[in-house]
Amino acid sequence: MSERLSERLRSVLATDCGSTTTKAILIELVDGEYRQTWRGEAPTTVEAPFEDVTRGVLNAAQEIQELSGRKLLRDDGGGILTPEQDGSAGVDAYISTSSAGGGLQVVVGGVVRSMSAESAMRAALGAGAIVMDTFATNDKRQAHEQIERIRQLRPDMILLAGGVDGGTRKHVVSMAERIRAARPRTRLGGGYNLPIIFAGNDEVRDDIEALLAGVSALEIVDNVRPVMETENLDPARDKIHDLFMEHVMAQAPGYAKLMGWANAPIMPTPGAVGLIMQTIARRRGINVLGVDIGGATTDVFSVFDGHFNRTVSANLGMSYSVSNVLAEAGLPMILRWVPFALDEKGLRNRIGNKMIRPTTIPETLEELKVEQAIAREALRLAFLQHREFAVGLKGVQKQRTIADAFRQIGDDSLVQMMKLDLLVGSGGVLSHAPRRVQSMRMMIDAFAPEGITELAVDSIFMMPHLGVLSTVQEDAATQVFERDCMIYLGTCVAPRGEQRPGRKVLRVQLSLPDGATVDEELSDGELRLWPCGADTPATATLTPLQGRLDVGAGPGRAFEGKLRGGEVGIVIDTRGRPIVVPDDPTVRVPKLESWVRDLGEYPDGET
Amino acid sequence: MTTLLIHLWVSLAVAAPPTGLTVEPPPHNGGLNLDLSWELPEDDGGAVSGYAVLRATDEAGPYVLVADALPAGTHTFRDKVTTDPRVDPLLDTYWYRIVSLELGAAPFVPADPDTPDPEAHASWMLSSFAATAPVVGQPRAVWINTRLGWLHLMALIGVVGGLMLYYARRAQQGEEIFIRRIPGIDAIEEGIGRATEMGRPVLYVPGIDELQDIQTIASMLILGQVSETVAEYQADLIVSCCIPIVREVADEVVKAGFYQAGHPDAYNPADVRFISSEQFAFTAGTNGIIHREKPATNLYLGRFFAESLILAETGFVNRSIQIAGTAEATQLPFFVAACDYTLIGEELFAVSAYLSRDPRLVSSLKASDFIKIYVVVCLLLGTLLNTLGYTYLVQLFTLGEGG
Amino acid sequence: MAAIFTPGLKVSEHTVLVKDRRLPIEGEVLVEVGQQVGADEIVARTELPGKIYPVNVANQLAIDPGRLGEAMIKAVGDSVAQGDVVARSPGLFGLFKSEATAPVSGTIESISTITGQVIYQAAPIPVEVDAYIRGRVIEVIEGEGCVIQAAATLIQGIFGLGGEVKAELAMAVEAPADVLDVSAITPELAGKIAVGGSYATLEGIQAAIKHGLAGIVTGGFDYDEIKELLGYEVGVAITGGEDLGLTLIVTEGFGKIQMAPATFALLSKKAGSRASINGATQIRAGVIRPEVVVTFDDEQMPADRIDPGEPRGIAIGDEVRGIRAPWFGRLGEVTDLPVEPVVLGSGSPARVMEVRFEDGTVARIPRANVEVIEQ
Repeated sequence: MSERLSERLRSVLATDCGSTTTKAILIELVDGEYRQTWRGEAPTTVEAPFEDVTRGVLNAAQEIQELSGRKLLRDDGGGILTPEQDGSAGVDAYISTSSAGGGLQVVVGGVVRSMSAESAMRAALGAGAIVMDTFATNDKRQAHEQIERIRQLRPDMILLAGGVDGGTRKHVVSMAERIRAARPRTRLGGGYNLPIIFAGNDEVRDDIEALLAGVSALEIVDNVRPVMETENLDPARDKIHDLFMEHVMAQAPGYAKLMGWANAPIMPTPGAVGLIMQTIARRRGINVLGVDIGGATTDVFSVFDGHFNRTVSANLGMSYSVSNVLAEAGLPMILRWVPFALDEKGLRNRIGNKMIRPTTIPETLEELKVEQAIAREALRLAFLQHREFAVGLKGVQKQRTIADAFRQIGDDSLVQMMKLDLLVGSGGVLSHAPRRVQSMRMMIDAFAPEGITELAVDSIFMMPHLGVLSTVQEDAATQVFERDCMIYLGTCVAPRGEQRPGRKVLRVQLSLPDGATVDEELSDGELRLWPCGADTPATATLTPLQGRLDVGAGPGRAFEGKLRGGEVGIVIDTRGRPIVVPDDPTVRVPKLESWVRDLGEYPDGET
Repeated sequence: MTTLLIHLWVSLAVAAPPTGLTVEPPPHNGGLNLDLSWELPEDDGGAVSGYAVLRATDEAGPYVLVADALPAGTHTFRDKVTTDPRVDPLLDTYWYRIVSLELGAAPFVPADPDTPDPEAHASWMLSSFAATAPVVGQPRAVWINTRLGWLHLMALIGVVGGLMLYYARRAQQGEEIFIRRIPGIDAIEEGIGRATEMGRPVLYVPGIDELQDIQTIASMLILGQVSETVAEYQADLIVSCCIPIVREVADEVVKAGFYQAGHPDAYNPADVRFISSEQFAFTAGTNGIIHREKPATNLYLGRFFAESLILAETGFVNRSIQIAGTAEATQLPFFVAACDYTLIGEELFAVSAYLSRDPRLVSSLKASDFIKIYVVVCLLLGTLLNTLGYTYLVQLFTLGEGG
Repeated sequence: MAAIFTPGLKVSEHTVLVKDRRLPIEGEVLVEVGQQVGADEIVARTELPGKIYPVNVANQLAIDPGRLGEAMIKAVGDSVAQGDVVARSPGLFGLFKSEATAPVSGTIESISTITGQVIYQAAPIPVEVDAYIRGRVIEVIEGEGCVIQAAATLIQGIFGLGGEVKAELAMAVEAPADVLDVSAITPELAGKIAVGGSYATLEGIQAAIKHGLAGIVTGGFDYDEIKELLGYEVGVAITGGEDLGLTLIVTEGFGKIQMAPATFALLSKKAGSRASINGATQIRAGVIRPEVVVTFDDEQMPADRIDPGEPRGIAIGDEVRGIRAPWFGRLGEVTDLPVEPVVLGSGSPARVMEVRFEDGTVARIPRANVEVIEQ
């Protein structure tokens, strides 16, 4: 179907059915280029009293129809009008993603936690699932504890891996025995068996079938880890998508109808975001890091040297989980970003109240600053979890030379900030910050990019729509991504390496598109901004003034090249890596104030 | 008579006695010795051919001869005042005189040549040669050696002890003590995981030396940790031993490891094997295990000799992950060439602390690291200074009389 | 785009309450449709599978897992008592036989000839579900439970800790602004649900636990105290299973915040009645609020009661409460609803409303930051 579609796509309607809002966008071919032209949104209608997801979809589409004047809805109420009729009615394709009803919840099992279980987890996360728990032989739990836990969880499906092809039999079988003993039940109940995907040792398929086929809807796919040295995640990932459609979606109210309308399979929202990230990274040949901070969870995506990873920090968010950010980061870590003194007990109560009344918004500037301080910590913690997860394969035989025998590898994460080219943020607190520079500052503080990094925010969280679109027509998806989805904030330049305090760190020579030139030497601990539009890049020469500092050209070497601007501009950060925030409030507050002032983060006269 | 007296006086005046005699207890001694030192007379080596030391328990005498014919140029002497205080009780004070022996003087002829008579000999000397005035000495026990080298050593021991306590305390308070990352050790757990996934055993070879060898002891400590991890992963472990006693100990260690991990039922004594105490019979046997049971991970930790490369090559051909560790410098190149990871020398002894993070082990690791750094710095600095002619640092490390 | 409001908390003297009473797993329902049930009456019963005990019997017997089948004396599904011999190795020429015994009384769940494991399941644990409220069974869900309907007074809280409790309501303070502290906790309150005012002190709650109170209903308490009481922080508002010693319900929020007068008045009115309370809270999809329920006979339901029906939007004259700083906890009345978004102090544009607070202050505050007090 997609073959036929991609030939002559003139217009696409895409929706994302989130847990609270259904967002629709219209993409049209304008002067030979794909552009996102209209958008609309409506409350999601999965739960009572409506219990039909299509109501929300129609409402959102209706809004676009009214705004654009293009007729989108069929007169018989039977869904979206496809294909395009004559340039002013209908669309060539309708596509959708969904995370309504809590998304796709998966339990993962494997043999060794850092090996097959991790591969299985990567497959599930990559498919856009929420991994409720990961079981492995060495997860420090006794068998009966594991069984109890599986009983408690009510996943949408279970992904079981383990053993290389021809590898261990007893571990895989004993995992399957435990699953069987637990007799897991589905989340939504109903009359269907829990889907279990087996993606492990091909030699134990018969045993697994004997154990699990009777008590579940067992599906067998190729091993996620056929040999220790490689991963093969696609079959498992695709199967998760299929089962998501067949079992999970089919149970949710209205989805059967929605699936009939859509021209491409409905994807879990985060799975679609992952797809567009991978597409962009591949097409531009860059390393991308993306984050979506929500009310309850924070998703982090990364594509480094072609390796895609996604993590979900289930309890780091800005409303439902905000108290958990406080619990995990600790109050001092949050307060270090707040440029004024606060009553601690009062702040804890305020955060508690945000948790129980999640829809409130900051009204005063002070509230906003506290909220953004919390966001920094939520992002930072989510990113830490991501870095820990995004590592190379474990248990691989290595060819090593004598030089390696003495080598000290400090960090084996795939996510190396120096190599990062583009950092994309989305989620209310980043996308809807009153000033774009606040978003940029939050992302710089939380992720501490090194060297030269472009920053952008997803304006209206269009990435899920574009992810599905990329399966239908990649060109259209990338064009819209570049032109309408991303709001480029600018570039962050941050030298990495040990800095001597109080000394000059970096000589900055910029020639900005408006003709202005800059030649300054920055000291340690500065945060400076030079506005520069997105259209024409600035030409820069960045010379480290201390021997071991690296701005991306190598230690001590000067960088010469173009820096992309954006709504904010070029930010030079000489605060060191990791970012040093003084502990002493009498030093910290003036420092924070000076950063805020130099960046113009908040309205004049305020710091 | 007058002539005789004059003659005598003249003859006495020819060989002058030493001057400036001092008698002091030596530094750090048990209280039985006294150190004598004197300044040489002008005609030392000329008219004065040597010295004799006389001792008395009273200033007036009688003196006895304690050392005869010390060669010319001698200006110190250590006297043991009593060989056995139970037989010959130690007194508070002793009196000494030094006699300058004259070149060509007639020897003393004792009354009875068969029985030495130090007292008669002494009085003959006093009458024949010039002697110093009596000087008193008091033997006194000095228990602390204040020599620089010894003080320095004491300070180092104190510092190491202090550091150990300090780090142990910090570690016990839950602080993460930084230990440099050793990829080879991290790889042990990875190797066990690999074996688990592949459904193949882990092979552990604790070297071929006796149990009392320090490397074998280190290896047994590591085996404890390895078997615990293996039990936790519910993988299989084969231990291949060359010495019967090592096998017995390894068996206990593995059993304890499985118990520790809460899987005593998974322990199988048949997996800890004695192959042969003949070096190459053992090697052949272990090679056989690698060929037949195809372990996914081989760990060679302990003291190895010629079999190192034979084992490691076989393992390599079998495509196992191999981690070796030995302090046997001659075997290291072979292991480095054929294994994925090699623990070099001291790293082998650090494994236990690294894996267990036991505060006591970690603290001794940290403290000994400190001493190593100190010694290396002193070595470099000392080489430089000594070359330039400053011997200060050399003295710092000199414990004996020399330097 | 329609503004979405936080649905207000229900504080209703006369309402018809419908409660689902379900077993965690399939079981037997003990009531019939139309039957009147008391709050403590058991409506459904089942047995929860017992704990699982896997034991590697093959290793115990030192035999190959593949031969476990021959060695087993008991089969899958057989019930065993603790200490029963379940397997015996054939031994060597009839010598060196070894035996394996059951570690627990229960049944044999599975025997694996691959891993050598035998999995025992301990005896099941009975689970019962009571009616929770006095009322009438209107529906029976076969094998799962029933639905009970009752005329009741319902007061929803915003946050709670602890599960279902049924006890007598008792006023521990006199006014909604009063603080519930140690002095208010008297021995007479033992076994009852104490109603506090604006704030419950940590010492007060601890004293209540010591004196054996069944529950506390208060306007506010400090977020910090959760950690003091439970020993851990509640990072996500999904509660109900806490082991606190009593059930705590907060009607307004964290901090010192006066209980809404209507809520307080209603609780005062119901003092002395038997109430069913539940601290279970879930602030996410499928919202669950903590609640205080006092049922009464259907006949007492006033005839002129109007069903509030679908939640409506907000209108001028509605009574609202601020739910975020700087207006947190303040009560007021909506005086204007401007259509155009207004730029807030924070710099973000948002739709606002004009509210006149009780002390006469008039302020424009974001619509998202108020809560309608439902009548």
